[in-house]
Formats: sequence, structure tokens, C-alpha cells
Amino acid sequence: MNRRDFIRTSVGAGLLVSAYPRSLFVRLRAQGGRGTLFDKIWDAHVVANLGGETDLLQVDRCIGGSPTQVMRLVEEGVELRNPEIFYSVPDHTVSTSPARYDDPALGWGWQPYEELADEMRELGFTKAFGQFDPRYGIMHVVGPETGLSQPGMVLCAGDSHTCTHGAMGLISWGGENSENILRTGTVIRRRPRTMRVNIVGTLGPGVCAKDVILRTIAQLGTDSGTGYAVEYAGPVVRALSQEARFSVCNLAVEMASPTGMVSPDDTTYEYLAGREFAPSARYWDQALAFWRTLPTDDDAVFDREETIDMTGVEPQVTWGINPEHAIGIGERIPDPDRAPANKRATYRQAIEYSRLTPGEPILGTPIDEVFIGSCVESRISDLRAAAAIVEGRRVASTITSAWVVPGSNAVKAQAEAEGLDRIFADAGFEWRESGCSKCYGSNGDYVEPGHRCISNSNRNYIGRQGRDTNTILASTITVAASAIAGSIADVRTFL
Amino acid sequence: MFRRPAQFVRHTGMAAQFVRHTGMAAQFVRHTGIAAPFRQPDLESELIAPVGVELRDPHAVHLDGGDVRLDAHRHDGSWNGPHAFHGFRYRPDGTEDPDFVLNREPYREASILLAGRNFGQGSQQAFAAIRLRQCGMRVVIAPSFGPVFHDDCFDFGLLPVTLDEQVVEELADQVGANPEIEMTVDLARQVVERSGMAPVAFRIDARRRLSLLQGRDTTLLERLQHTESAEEMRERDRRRRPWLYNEPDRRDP
Repeated sequence: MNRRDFIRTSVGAGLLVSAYPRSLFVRLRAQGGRGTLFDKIWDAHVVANLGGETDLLQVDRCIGGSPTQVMRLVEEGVELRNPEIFYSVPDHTVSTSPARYDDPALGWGWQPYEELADEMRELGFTKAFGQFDPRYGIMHVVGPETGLSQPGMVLCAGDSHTCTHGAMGLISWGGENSENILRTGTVIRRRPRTMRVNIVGTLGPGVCAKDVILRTIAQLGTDSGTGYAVEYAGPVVRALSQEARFSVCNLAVEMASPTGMVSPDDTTYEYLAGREFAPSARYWDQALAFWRTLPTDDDAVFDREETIDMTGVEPQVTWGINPEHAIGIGERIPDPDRAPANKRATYRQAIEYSRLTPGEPILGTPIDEVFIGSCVESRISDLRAAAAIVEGRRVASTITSAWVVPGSNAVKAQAEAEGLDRIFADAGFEWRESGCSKCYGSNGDYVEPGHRCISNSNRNYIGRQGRDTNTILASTITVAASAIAGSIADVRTFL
Repeated sequence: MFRRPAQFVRHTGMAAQFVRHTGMAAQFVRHTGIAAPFRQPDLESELIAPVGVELRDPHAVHLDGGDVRLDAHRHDGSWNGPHAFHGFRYRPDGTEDPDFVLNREPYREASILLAGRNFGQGSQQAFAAIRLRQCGMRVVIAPSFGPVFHDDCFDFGLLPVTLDEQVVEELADQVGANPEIEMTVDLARQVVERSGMAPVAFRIDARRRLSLLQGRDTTLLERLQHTESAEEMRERDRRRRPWLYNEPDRRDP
């Protein structure tokens, strides 16, 4: 009799039941039918319930931990646990100038991070990547790209865009202090409610993942996700490539949800296969069988469901000061006086700050700078799409700065192997080293004061890219098209 | 291996670092002070502590793989970073903007902020909470908060009080009529009081409340108390999902 047959017998079943604490069954019954991706992962990570909705969770992966922090803890005699779950990439404060490797004159943007990474490795944290490391890059590009983010994980970090990793079919959130995870390997978290955003319809020409999420935020609002873990689903999301799904999940936090996720499928597994830290051949089948149990069940119940219809939606651009201020490329800049009462004040401030005129078309608005990069869309497929737009064309002479910043050293190497860097350079773009760069405006790379920058990044808050700067958010291809036109352009005329 | 009992563990958490480096209290029990209404909705954490301003000054702040390093805030032993609400407080030419509420009397001395919906949305910006503390704030009362900012507040002795939009509006009206009357926020009793007004009750998550009342990261203690079950779970997990922990034949970097 094999193991499965034995369990089917009454003796076997009895043994099985007695092997599990009663509370587990009570818990399962209480949650009957809640077979969402989120619930499955969360339940599998609960170390202890701390009363009410608050659980102590095991952390599978944490981005963070700096040598100074770790050494301070070591000096203080603190016991550190599970160094293997950590990886650290100093991305926010590193300059993306090609001179960053050897020019201390860069001052603030130049840091001897390579030495710091070495120190981390000496302390047992093997996955510390300095800027010379081929695996260096933006932490949210590096994680999936090296296979460190895998389906079914709980992944935490300090950075708010940690929700990006959710596209791999895992729970991730930012805002965690890695010191406490270094010491315990756990986090305390109140269980959020679940929301499913069904993206339906068909994507028109020139409309891509970034437009999907901008449209979603514009429809639902920047605070719509408060207290929810959001799963993006529906035929449109299913059809997206894995790299495009990162773009969708990246902006989950812009709708105030700390966690955005997509149920894993073959697209996910194919993306992961063969990556450095992905399960090795020995464990691949076992891992795959486990991952296939994760996707949301057909009869799963969410606390809230929303539907976004993408049919007929144009490429999106933002006009204002938060990602909710997105409109179609053919639309006009809204009039604050006609805005909903609770948004009027923000609209007025946005119009004043962005120096735009209500009622005017957004198309053709002049721009000064162009930025392609950031953890939203700086992966190889994004750069290929942008290169296809700019190939054989020239950046408009009115643009003072047009940068392409690959998301990681690996993306950069791949792009150079394909000759994309030449295409960008020939078109008049500056080809940079990898990092967060101008998205963040705080590492020596920033938009000049008073300039309007069209950017494929995720935040257009006042001063995000530098003091007194205006940010227009758009998809990578819309940004590329606008660089050629010298003003906000409709990418569909470039296809 | 020798393991310290949880109750003797040194507090090296964020709250303890904050106290060490700023000399400000992380504890919050009860506070009385002037309240200032600044009810702009959807105020991003980056507008509270403008990161562009912060990071151009290498002494003001340092980010490390997304983690805040408080020790890097020191500049000659003191903290002298820019004010909270830098962009509102000063005009582009560097002079004070008299229209900004915190530049007016008696709000200059305010320590309680009556804020708008979705206050502090956006990035992880521990500086947003820190800078608010540095300009004297102890309490922020708002209809809702950005999730990350809300969590950050508790590390830095700042109390975020969530009240209905209507209630915040009433409080702001009351304050506007008589700005010099002080308001008292009592975390022990979870109530906001002001003379001439009925007390307003609020709720803070019990765990977070304890952290603030004690002025230390009690959640770290709580986690450490579960160390054994966490380790057992990790051991089971190593067998259940070996591929997560198995890193064979990785090339030497």
C-alpha cells in the first residue's frame, strides 16, 4: 500500500487528522472558499496569530541590510538569523554617470559601494551586489531578474515599490525595517482585505501595461487600495508578458495598496527558469508542482472586486501632481472647477504647479527633458520597445536632456549586445549606467529646476524629480515618441 | 548556542536609534499644545520632507538599500536638516511664505497638526515623520493616512490619529475660531480634548499604542518571544521548500 492509499483508509485518515492541531481545521473552515493567491500564501506563512487580524509572519526574502547596520548589530552582540534570505543592492543613492566607478568628484553620487558589498559578504550576506557586480541594478529589477523573487514567497523591504515583485505571484510590501527582520526573520502584520481588479477588454495599438495601471489608478483613485491587497487579474493581465506585469504591480502602491500581485502561470515559470537563484534542476519539478497550487481558485471570494475595461482606452499621460491625474492622449486638461468637490483643491494646486491651461489638449505640450528608466519599465523588453520607436529618428533639438537608464547591469549588457545602446545614442539619447537615477531625483541625477520632464517612472509628486520640476508620467513608448516630437506625442503615429 | 532571554535584549530598534541620535522622546502618553489646521488632501510624504532637498545635503540624510540610516543624519553632532514642509514654508527666493499656516502666530508653536485625507501618501519616507518631529509636531490628526507613513510615525514618537473627515473639519473650525486655546491628546485614554468642546474618542491599534506608551519597539520584543516557533517553522520550510534555501555552486563574485 503506498502512502496516498494508506491515508484514504480510516486508520490513515485518523492519523492524519490527529497529526494536525484542531485550530488548523477551525481556521480552514472559517476561511472556506477564500482560495485567493493572497490567502494561500499568507496562511502558509503564519508563525502565530497575535490576536484579532494581526499575524506574525515568516519572511522568505528581504531586500536590505547595510554593512553599517549589520556591523552595529554584530558589535552589540545581537544574534542575526537567516542571512541567506537577504539581498542588498544600493540603488537609490548611486549616480548613473559612466564615471561613477572611478570619479570621486561626483561627490554625493559616488560611493565606494563595492567595498561595502565586500564587507557584507564577509559578514555572511552573500547576496550583496556593489555597482561592479553584473547583478547590480535597481532592487526591483534585480530581484526577479536573478530569480531571487519566486512565487509563493513573502518578500519585504524598506522601499515602497517592493510591490513590484508581486507580479511573480508572491506577497510583497515595503516600509519594513530590515533590522527587525535581521534579528527575527519575521514581521508583524495586520491581515489586509483582498481586492481583485479585473482588467478586461482589448488593448488598442500603442497601449501597454503602464497605460493599464495608470488608467486603473485614474478610475479608482490614489487612496482606493488602502487596507487591501490587490490582485490584478482578467484576460488583459493574463496576456501580458512577465516583464509587463511588473509594470502593473509596481504602481499598486500608488493606489495606496502596499501589495499588488498577479497569479503565477506558465509565463511566470518560463520567465523564472534558468535564472541564477531560481530552483536548480534538482528541485525544479518540486517547486513547479508547488507553484501550480498557488493561483487564485475559480470559486475564491474577494472582499472587493473592481473591473477596468481597456477597450477604446488611449495611451495615458498624467497632467498633474499624482498618478491619479492620468488622461488619454487625445483628451484635454481638466478644469478644476468642474472636478469632483473632494478633488477640487488638489486639481487647482496641480494646474498651478504644472503651469498648464485647463481645457487645452495635453497632446503637444512642450517638454524639456526625457527620462527612460526606473523600476517600472527599464527591463530589456521596455528598452527594445523604446528602441523600435526611436530607431532612425532624432531627439528634438528643444530637449535639453534625454536619458536612457537600464534597470540593471544585466539589462545594460544585454541591450549593448543587441546594439540598442547604438540606436539610442544615434537618436541623441544619453546611455547611462544602471540605477534609480532621475525617477528619484536624489542621487546627483535630477531634472533641472523649472523643467518639464516626460518620464516612464511611477511618481509625479511635486519636486519628485528635483525642485520645481514637472513630471509627466507615461509608458516607455509614449516617452520615446515624445522625445522625438519634443512635446507630448501620440505614440500611435510612430508605430 | 547561548541565547539571551527576550526581556534582556538590547533595544537597537528604530525608536531607540531615534532617541539616541535626536535626543527627542519616542514615548508618547499625553500631549497638550496648539493645533494648526493644514488640511490639504493627498499630501505626499515627499512634500512633507522634500527628498530632493534632503538628499542634496549629504549630511542631512542617507538611504541605504531603502533603509533609513539615522546615524548618518548627524552633522557635527546635531541634526540640522531642512524643515518639514520646506516647499510650503519658503518661497523660491528663500524667504518665508506668510500664507503658510505654520508661519503665522500662534501656529508657529503648533505641535498638533489637523491634516487632510490621505496624509503622507507615497514613498517610504521616515524623514516625513522625523521632520515633523523636528518642527515640534507630536500629533497628526487626519481622516486617513498613507499606509507607510502611518506605520513610520510609531517609530518616531509621532501619534497619527484617524478621525472621521467631518470630525476633523469640526476640530479645524473650532481651532480656527480660537487658535490660542490648547488641545490635549491623551493616548492612554485615547481621547482628544479641548475646552469648549465635547471630548472626541479615537482608536489606536493596541500593539502600536503600547509601543508609543513605552517609547520603544515592543513589536520587536513580541517577535523575539516567538523566536522558537519561528525557527521551527523555518526548519519545516527548509524541508518543504528546499529550493529557497539551496544555493549550490554559486560562482564566487
